[in-house]
Order: sequence, then structure tokens, then C-alpha cells
Amino acid sequence: MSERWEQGLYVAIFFGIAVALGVGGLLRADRGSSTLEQRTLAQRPAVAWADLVTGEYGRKVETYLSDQFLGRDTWVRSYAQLNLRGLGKVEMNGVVIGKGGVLLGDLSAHKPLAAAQTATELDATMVQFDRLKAAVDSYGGTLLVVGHPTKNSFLRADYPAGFTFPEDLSRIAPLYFAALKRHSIASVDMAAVFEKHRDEKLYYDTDHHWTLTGAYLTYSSMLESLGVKPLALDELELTTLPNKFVGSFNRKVAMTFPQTEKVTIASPRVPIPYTRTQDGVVSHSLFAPHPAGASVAYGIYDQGDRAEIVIDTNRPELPSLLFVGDSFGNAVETLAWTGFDESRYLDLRHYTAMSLLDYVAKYKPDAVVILVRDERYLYRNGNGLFTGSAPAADSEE
Amino acid sequence: MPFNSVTFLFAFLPLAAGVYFAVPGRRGRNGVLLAASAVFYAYGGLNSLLVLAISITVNYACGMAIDSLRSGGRPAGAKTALVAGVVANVALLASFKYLGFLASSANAVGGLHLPIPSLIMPIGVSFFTFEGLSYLVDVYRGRAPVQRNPLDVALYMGLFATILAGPIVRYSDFHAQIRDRGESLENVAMGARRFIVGLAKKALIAGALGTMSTTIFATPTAQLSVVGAWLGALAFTGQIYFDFSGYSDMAIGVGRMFGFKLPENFNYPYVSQSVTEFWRRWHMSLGTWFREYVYIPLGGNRVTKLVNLRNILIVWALTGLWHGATWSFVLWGVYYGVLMAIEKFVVGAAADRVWRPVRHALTMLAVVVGWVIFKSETMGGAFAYLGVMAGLGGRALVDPRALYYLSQYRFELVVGLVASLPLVPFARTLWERSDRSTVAQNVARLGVLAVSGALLVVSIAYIVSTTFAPFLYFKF
Repeated sequence: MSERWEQGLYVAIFFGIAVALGVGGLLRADRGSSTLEQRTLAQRPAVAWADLVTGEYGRKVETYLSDQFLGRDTWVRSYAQLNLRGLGKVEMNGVVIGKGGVLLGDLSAHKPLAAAQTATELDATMVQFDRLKAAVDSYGGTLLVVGHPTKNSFLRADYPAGFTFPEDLSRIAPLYFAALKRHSIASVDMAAVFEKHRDEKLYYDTDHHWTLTGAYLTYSSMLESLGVKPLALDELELTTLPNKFVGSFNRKVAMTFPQTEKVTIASPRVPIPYTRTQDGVVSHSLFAPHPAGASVAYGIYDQGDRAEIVIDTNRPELPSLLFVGDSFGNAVETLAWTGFDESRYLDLRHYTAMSLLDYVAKYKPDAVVILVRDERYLYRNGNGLFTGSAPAADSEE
Repeated sequence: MPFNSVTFLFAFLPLAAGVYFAVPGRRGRNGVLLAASAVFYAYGGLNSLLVLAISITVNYACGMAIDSLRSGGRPAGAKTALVAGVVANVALLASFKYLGFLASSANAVGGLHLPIPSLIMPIGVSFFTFEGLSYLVDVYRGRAPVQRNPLDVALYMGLFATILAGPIVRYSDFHAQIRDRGESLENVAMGARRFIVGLAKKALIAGALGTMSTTIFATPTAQLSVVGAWLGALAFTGQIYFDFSGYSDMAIGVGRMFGFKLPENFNYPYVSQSVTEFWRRWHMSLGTWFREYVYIPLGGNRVTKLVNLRNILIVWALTGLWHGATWSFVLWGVYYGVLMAIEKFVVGAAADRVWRPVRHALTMLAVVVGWVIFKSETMGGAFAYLGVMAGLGGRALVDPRALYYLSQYRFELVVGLVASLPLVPFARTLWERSDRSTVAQNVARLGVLAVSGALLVVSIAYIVSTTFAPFLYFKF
């Protein structure tokens, strides 16, 4: 091979790849979203003078070209494979590979609360609970707080060596439940319940949410605390779906891990008639569609995050329920409705019509349940904001 | 438009190269380059392009004035025009880069309440301003002819290959290439190969080491162990080298594609045996600029020892300040000035009697300490971090987190270590000295070609998959 041939090959490889990928990306129709990354992809930006002046237009073009890059999914998957499989990394895109291959969060987003600030934050949190309790007490209702560990918290021993679980999360939980008790607010600490079931699979390996087992334990503990008899497991028809499971953590690492986990859903063996509306629209199914061959995610439960869901079983002899929670509540909701006449489910990250206090005053539910994860015990935003009329941004699933 | 962006690699560069080689003639091709450079720079905002245009205009006008006055037999007038141009360039740089620093320093020292201006600094302003100064001084000294066409001044100061972060090209080294440079298949191929090396340095090594160093430096020093702190410092030592030398490789490669021979910026600085040698190998174009336009005009070393010491300290304080408008950068510059003065006036030739590995270790110690000062946002932060590295305050020697970093980034650390050694030139020398058959030559060529192709493909995967990481030297 002559030098000239070698030079020609260099130029052909370099510019061939650049032109092929560049032109290929432009010729192909733009994608609206990425199934792999589970996000909306940037579209061709409109030219705006202000953006040209500040350089924002250039940044938008870069995002657009990167999002619409030819074979993007393959590149992203290859990058993840190379780093996780090839280079043996255990951390990527906020996901940590724990013992036994279980995927955990990297905890980098957690902002530790200094010990000196804890009392102040706790007091401020209890002020909100006092107001909520007063509102519920005013018509003879019951307020219950169900606190639960996140997967990161419950499986903290599974982090690889070198990861130190935030000290404040361990410190705050007992103080939180002690404060609730001092303020005469009933509570359930699911950490203690889960501890008794540690041998069971309470969380998905490749998702940050709990499995139906974790959700069922929460549901039954919650109902028992409210004096309502939960359905026993043998009263439920459990269906394990054959669909491939898209775990939230697996998604962040470009589905590098096998999608072998399965989603189980439950419904009463003895059917209970009900009507259901979500965000004001009648939608009968408790589960998102899951046609054969399609992948399913945790969002299948209660059709994912919704601002407001109302399920009415028309059994006036039973109490009514208001349940406030984030996505962890979705799986619980598919069980909880069975024990109540009318049950209402709010996700205050999305619900903007009125404040929780106004909602309670309007509907006067017999039981008000606040489901809160341990990372958010002293969080007064989103589902931790009872008095605001508009929720603050809280994008976490 | 950074070289490691999708926009540059897959749209701008192929398009610019395609149009450039399709247009015949030097004037037409220079026009293409100028237009491409304008688009390239405007990508960061038209406001920045306006600042560049003002700078080019001022330097063009001053250059013409210098030439006209000098050829008209008015050397004093030419000097006045030079001083005016220098003042204008320094004022432009100062207004965007140092005004806030000066005001806050004056407020702190003098108890004043001056408003702190917060102008958005045009990217690359330190680089194109230095090239503007080079243009004026070289024209004044008669080392290179004035450019009568303002577009040629614009091409020199605004060439997209160098405008964002250098190498800083002296006008006397560049002017001939405006009219006469050799575009060829060989140059395009060499440029492509060099570009791929730089891209891989940035994407594969600097990015990971940057994540590691950023995380460790963000950790409160109270939580760092001695080994952890050292790992952070070493990671940054690797990051800044592969980031900036990677950028320089790409810049030199892009320039080569269009026929330009840009000056080298790095020559394996981490093999140095002294701090003086380190700075002969690190950011060479900046060192050359300061030597040519500051150190020598101050008298250089052809003066008394005391004045020479003053000159060294002035140059290094300015070098520090050039990197950023904070006292940490000034301290970093003075730190090197003091070290170089010690090497020159105290240690002298005695260093040659010290075992080379010891000299190398001491040099690297000085360099790593320097990078800690450079990386730290405050002087207090730098001293606290260095205290941990020194084992002060009863810190643990090692902690599990440090071991985790060592394990997590072992590949990048090892590759970084190997790639910072001059193994490639060494292997090339051995290869060239050996008797080799045609088959062996072809196999070697194909092997290098395959490795280059693989590096390009893997780098693309990193570029597409990771959040865009700007080059460290863009902020200077």
C-alpha cells in the first residue's frame, strides 16, 4: 500500500463517516421521542433573532442534531455496553450497579441536611401536618402518614464499597415518626414492615419502584391502621404479565441489563363494580394498556402519574379515602380502592386546582393518607406542600 | 462551535471542507475560510462576533497607521499608533475579563462600593486579543508586512481552527500562509489523523478524568482522605492535559486539512525534569507569546539578576492573570514564577547532579500542587486541599471512596498515564531505524489506520451519548 493510498483511506474514513452520519441524520425523518431513553427528542429549532444574538440558537441546533443523530439508539447502547460491560464501570447516568446486579440510584442528587437544621425543618414540616390534622379532625376524619423507604435506602447494604449512604436519611426517619407521634398523628413506618420481609423481592432489580409485593405490604399495613380489612392475597387474582419490563434504572443505562423481570398486577377475585375517572375523564382500567409483545413499565399501575383519580364503588357503608402520594402510590392505588366506597388519589406535583387543605375541606374524606418516601420526610414541595394552591416543580418520578 | 460537537464534526467541517476544495484560487478559498470562520464563531452568539469584528477593525486600522507612519519617516508616530493599538486591545480584554475582578478587588481592599460589571466574555477573547497584539508588534518591528486587505487580518485573527483556544499563532509565523500554503491529500490525511487523536483524548480520557476530579474537588475537604485528595489532584492533572492537548491536536489537525501549519502547543510536558522544562513543553504557544512580547521587551535575562527576577515574576503573574480573573490564578502564576526563579538563580546547574527520577518526581510534585491551586476556586480552598494531600489534620490515609474511584477509573488512569509518555514518537523512531519489509510496512499502516478508525467510532459514541462537555480552556 503506497503512502498515497494510505492518505486516501484516512480521508475516506474520516470524511466518509462524518458525511454519512451527518447527511443520514438530516435525510431521515425526525423522531419525536426515544423509546430507549424514554424522553422527547429535540426538534428542528426555529430561528429567532434573540437566540442568534446570545448563542442559544447554536446550543439548540447542537441538541437537535445530537438527538436526531443517525442510529442514536445504537450509539447510546454501545456507549453503555462499552462502559458497563467492557470497562467494568459500576456507575453511569445516576445509576449504580449494586451487589447481585441490582440497580440503585447514585444518591448524588441528595442534598444532605445538616444536623443543626433538622429540628427547624422538622418543626416547619409539623406545622403543615398540624394544619392538615386540624382540617381532618374538624369533620371527624382520620389522618394517617405512611412513610416508606426508597429502594436506595432499603437496599443500602447492596451499594458497592466506597458508597456511603447519606447519614441524614438514617438520622431523620426516627425523629420524623417521633414528631408525628408527639403531634398525635397516626403513622406507619414501612421500613419496619419491610424489614420483616427482607427475603422477599420488594423492589424491582432494574427499576427504582417497589414490586407488587412491596405495594401490597404497604396497602395492607395502611388499611389495617385505618381499621379497614385488606383483601388477603388469596382474595386477589394475581396476573404476571409476559411483557418485557422497562425498568427506570435500566432505561438510564440504555437497557444494558436483560429485561427478564415481570410485572404482576392484582384484581379482586370477586369483582367489585366501580367507576373510575382520571384527571376528570372516565377511564375504566386500573392499568395502562399492555398488548402482547409490547414492553411495560412501572407506569402500568393506575396508568401512571395522574393529578387526580377518583374511584367510586358505590358502597356507602364503607368509608371514603383521600390518598396523596407520588408514583410509589400508583401500585398501592390499584389495591386500595377495594376497601372504600369512594377513593380519591392526588399527586400534588401535578394537581393544581386547589390546595390539599381546600380539597379536604371540600370532600371531607373519612380517611386521609399521606404516602411519603423517606428521602422526602422533611420536603415541603410537591406532595409535601399541603397549603399551596399550585405545586412547585418536582420532576422526580 | 466546539470541535467535539455534533454540529462541527458532522455538519460544519465536511461542509466547509467540501466548499473550500471546490472553490479554485487562493482568494476564493480564503473567502470560504473567512465565511466559515464567521459562521463558526457566530454559533456562540452574534454579540461575540461583533466584539471580534471590532477587535479586527481596530487592529487593522492600527496596523495600517503603524505601517504608514513608519514608511513616512515618522517612527514616533508609528510607536504612538502601536501604543494606541496595544491599549485598545488590553482595554477590550480587560473590559470583558478583568473589570469585575478589578472592581471587586478595589471594593475589598479600599472599602469602596463600586458596581461589579458582569459582561458576558466572548469565547476566545484572550486568544484573539493576543493574536491582535502579535499582529501590531510584528508589523511595528518590521518582522512581517502589514495586511492591506482587512479580510486577511480577519482571517489571521478569526480563523476557526484557532480562535476558540489557540494555539496562539504569532503573526510573523502566519502571514505567509495567508497567500501561500499547501493543500494536499497528504495534509488532509495528516490533519484527519491528528484530529482523531485529539478527539479521542478529549472524549475518552479527559471526560472521565474530569468527572472524577470534579466529584472529588466538590467533596468537602473534611471528608477527604490523603489518597482521595491525591487521586483528585492527579485526575485533574490528567484531565487538563488531555483536554487542552486534545483540543490543540484537533485545532492543528483542522488547520492542516486546510493547508495551515500551526505551532505545536504540547510536547509531553509530564516527562519534564524541571519546572522550566515543563513550561517549555506546556502551552508552548502562550509561553512563546509571553517571551516574545513581554519578557524580552522587559529586558529578558540580559539585565541584572534583580531586574531579571522582576521580569520573571511579572511574566508569570500576567500568565496567571491571563488564565482567569481571580487571585487564585495570580497566585498560581506567581507560584511558577518563584519556582522558575529558584531553579534559575538558586538551584542552577546543581540540578543536573540529581538522579533523573528524583528530578522528575519533584517536578511532577510541583506541577500537581500547581494544578490544585489552579483548580481551586479560592486560595483558602487550595490551601485546605493541599493540607489534606500533605496529611495534615490527622486525615485517614485512604478511604473506601478513594478505592472506589481508583477501581472505577482504572482504565482511564492507566491509559492516561501511558498516553502522557512519548511512547508513540519512541516507537516511530525505532520503526524508522529498523529494516522492514513492504509487507510489514503495509501491515503497520493498516494497523494504525484501523486504530484511528476505531478511535473515531468510539469517540462518536461518547460524543453522542454524553452530555456535552466544553473544553476547560474555553473559559480563558
